[in-house]
This record gives sequence, C-alpha cells and structure tokens, in this order.
Amino acid sequence: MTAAPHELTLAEASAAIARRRLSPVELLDALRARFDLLEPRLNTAILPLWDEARQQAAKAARRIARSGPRSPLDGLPVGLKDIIDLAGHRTTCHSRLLLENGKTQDAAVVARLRAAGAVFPAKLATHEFAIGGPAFDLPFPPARNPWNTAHHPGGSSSGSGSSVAAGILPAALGSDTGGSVRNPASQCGIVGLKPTYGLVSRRGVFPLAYTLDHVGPMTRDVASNALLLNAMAGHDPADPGSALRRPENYARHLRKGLKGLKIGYVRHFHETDDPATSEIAASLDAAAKLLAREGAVVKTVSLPPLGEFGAVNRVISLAEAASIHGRWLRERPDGYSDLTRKRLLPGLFLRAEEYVQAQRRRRELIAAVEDAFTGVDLLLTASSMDPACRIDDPEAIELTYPRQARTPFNVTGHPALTVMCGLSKAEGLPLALQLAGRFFDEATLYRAAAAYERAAPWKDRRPSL
Amino acid sequence: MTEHQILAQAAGLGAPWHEREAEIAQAITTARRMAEGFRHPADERTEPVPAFAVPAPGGTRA
Repeated sequence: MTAAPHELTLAEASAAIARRRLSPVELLDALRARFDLLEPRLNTAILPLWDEARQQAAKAARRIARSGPRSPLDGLPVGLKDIIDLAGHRTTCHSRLLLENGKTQDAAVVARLRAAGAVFPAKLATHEFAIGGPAFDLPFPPARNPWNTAHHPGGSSSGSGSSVAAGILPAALGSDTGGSVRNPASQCGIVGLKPTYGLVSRRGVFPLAYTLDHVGPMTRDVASNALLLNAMAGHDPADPGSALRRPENYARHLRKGLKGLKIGYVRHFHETDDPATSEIAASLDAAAKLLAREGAVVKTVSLPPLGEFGAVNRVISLAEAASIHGRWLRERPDGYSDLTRKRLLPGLFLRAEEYVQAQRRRRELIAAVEDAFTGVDLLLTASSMDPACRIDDPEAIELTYPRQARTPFNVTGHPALTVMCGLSKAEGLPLALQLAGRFFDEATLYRAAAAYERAAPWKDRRPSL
Repeated sequence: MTEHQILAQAAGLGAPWHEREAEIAQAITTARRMAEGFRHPADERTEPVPAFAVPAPGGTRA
C-alpha cells in the first residue's frame, strides 16, 4: 500500500482491510490525525466521536482477524449529517433549538450501516434544519470548502462534503430535499447521489419536506458510492415513503462502459433557462463529447423549463416545512438563525390551494421526465450554474438556491448523481455535472459515472490543504 | 388592521412577532412570488401527487 490511509477511497480502504494490509484502527487513527490538523480551518463536525469510533474499529479489527470482514464496510468510517440519529447522542440539526435533543435509537439507515460493520466518527455540520445556512449566528460555525476555505462548501450537507473532500472521512451521509447532497458534492469535487425516492429509509432523519426528502451517500469516487448505497438501501415498513424493493448490487455494472447507452443532454437548463458560467457550460459540453467518445449516444433533449421545477419544489418544500416548524416559528422565532427564519417563514403564508396546485403541476413534470426516459437511458445536466461562492457573500449564497439544476429530480423522485467535471481557472474550484436515471436504475447511473470518471482527468484531483 | 397584520394573525404569529413587521412583509411577498412561479394546471382532472407516492420502475410515478 503506497497511498496514505487518508488518501484511500472507501472502496480502496475496504479492499486493503479485506487483504489484511490495513487495519480499521490504523485507518481511524490516520483520519483522526487528519481531523485534528484540518478541523480548525474547516469546521466539519458538530460532534466528534473519535474515541467511540476507535472502540468500534478495534472491535471490527478483532472480528476481521478472527473470521474476515462482515461486509465490505466492516470497520470503515462513515460521517453522519447531524440531522441523522445516532443512538446515544444528540441530533442538533445545527440548531440551538435542539441542543438537548438526545436520541436512543439509530436512524434506520445508520442501523443498516452499523449492521454492516461501519463506524461513526462524527456528526457533521449542516445548514440549520437542512435549510438555513451558511449562518454565523448559530452555536456551531458553518463548514468551509477545503479547496478554498474562504468559499462555501455548498449545502445543506456541508460538513459531509467538506470532510470527504478533505480526506478526513472516506464517506458520509447527507440528505437532499432540493439538492443538498449534490450541491456540496459538486462544490467540493466529490461524488454525491440522491437515490430514487423511497429507496433509502428516512426514519430517524429530521424531516425538511416529507415528499421531497432523500438520504444519500457522499464519497470520493463512484465505486465507493455504490458500495455505500448497497448497505443503505432497503425497504423500511416504518417509513411511509419507503419502496418495497429487494436489495440489489448497485456496483454490478461499474466496469461495463458506455457502449449501448443513450444519454439525453438537457442543454436548455444551463444555456437559456438560467445560463451557467461559460466555464461550466464548456465543461459540460466537453463531458458530453467524452461520453460520446467512450461509446454513448448523446443527443439533445428538452424538459419543461428549469424554473418550473424550482418553483414547484419551493412551494412544496416550504409548505411541508411549515407543518414541521410552525409551532417553533410562532413561539420561538429567536431560536432560529436569522437566515433560517427568513427561509422558513414564507411557508406560513402559502395557501392550501397553492400547495395542491404545486402537487398537481408536479404530476405533469414527473410525466414529462418519464416521457424523456422513453427515448434515453440517462439525462446529462448541469449541477450548479456557478462554482462555489465566497462564504461571506450573502447575495451570492442566495443565488445558489435558484441557480442549479438539482431540484427537478427531487420533484420527480428520479435518481441523480453529481461528479466532478472540471476546475475553475480563476480560483481552482471544482465544477460538476449531473446524471439522472430511471426510477430505481442507480446501477446504470453508476455505470455511466464510473466510465466518465475513468476517462476524465478529475478523479484524483484533490484540494491541497 | 393592515392586510399584512391580518395575514400574520391568520398564520398564528402573535406576541413573539411584534416588532418584526418587515420580516413578515418580506415573507408574504416571497410566498406570493413563489405561488406564481409555476403554471397551475388548467385541467381540473389533474390530480396532485399523493403524499407518499413511491415510484414504480418502468412506469410513471403519479
């Protein structure tokens, strides 16, 4: 093994542990050293749990020495966005309202990972309640972008994106209601997946908007993402939105290449609906060409205007969020950061009719995207229209919400994955593309993303910290 | 009472929200803009997506 432990992807660390070339304790100690070195600059964690994780890793090491790994994740560290419950610890949602919110049970997805042998070294920074951030008037500081700490790492799964990109953790979980896994993944240059709605249980994950919420894996490469999803996915009768699906191996097509795949390139999202920077547009065109060169048939397709998806997403998410936060908003408005309160409050002024109209329009938008999938296997779109902005620029931060093409797939429920496709020339910040697939066809998403990752020069580019 | 005060009262914003008229006004404006941000289906037969419509592979979700 030549790479330092913190440089290994989740999949590489898994292979090294299986071959007895790396012990879970050795890996965890190396990551902890990395955390101690970088955390003062990155603010990734709300609750560091390295001692507890080391005990779990030592237990895994003894188990592996005795009888081999329990699963490909045995002894491997996974960070948790701090809206996800971990038994024995509080879930703060990065809010002073929930500083004492102790939990006695794991979230369903954590229980699945724990059963696979994963260990949990940290609960990670988020935007407050997965909506209000980055904010500086909260009990915990906002996470920073490891490519340039003056910049926003994207949100709301900010600590997840930052810690994985920085090599503090090989993997983390985020949640995604309007793009909150894929935004920090894009801005930090890692791989983020929003699975099909219903594939991963949300039980034990603090809700933002019930019909739009997803939990997804964030990793440094595609293979690791598939490995993590394999352990996360599965039916949960206690989550009313959980799909009745049999577990499958989402990594089964990783080496299959692109020949035979048809990819629809949704150019109007970033060319005319909400124009991206010229660098991002060029990086997407270059990616489309590369996908074609590698054997895919790439053709331009049209969907309804991007703004329609965004507006429907906002009305539904804020109406549903108001049903969750209404009481606190009315009685304890000062419990929130100014930004969170500003973002949540409009939900109290949406009428029931407007929520239902949004859900009606949503049905049409789903049908339009399903129609597109009759002619193609995947869709290629922009993720963000801009590279990461400065974290202290509130006007630029506000623009990160509309200037993106991730919300369409929260509205429709289709799986969508972001992967790095360039670096901005001026500041060396990551650029990303998004691939979306048919319902429950995460295996094809991973197949195409892995082929792109192999052919493109970005996989091994990391922030210099 | 102003329209904003009536709407705030209807939304249940009481004593803790006194002195926050500007925040309320901004939220009302934002909510109105959001509600007008998409095309409202004209066909009365268009039904909303049910609250927990789990998609089915190979078919439309709704």
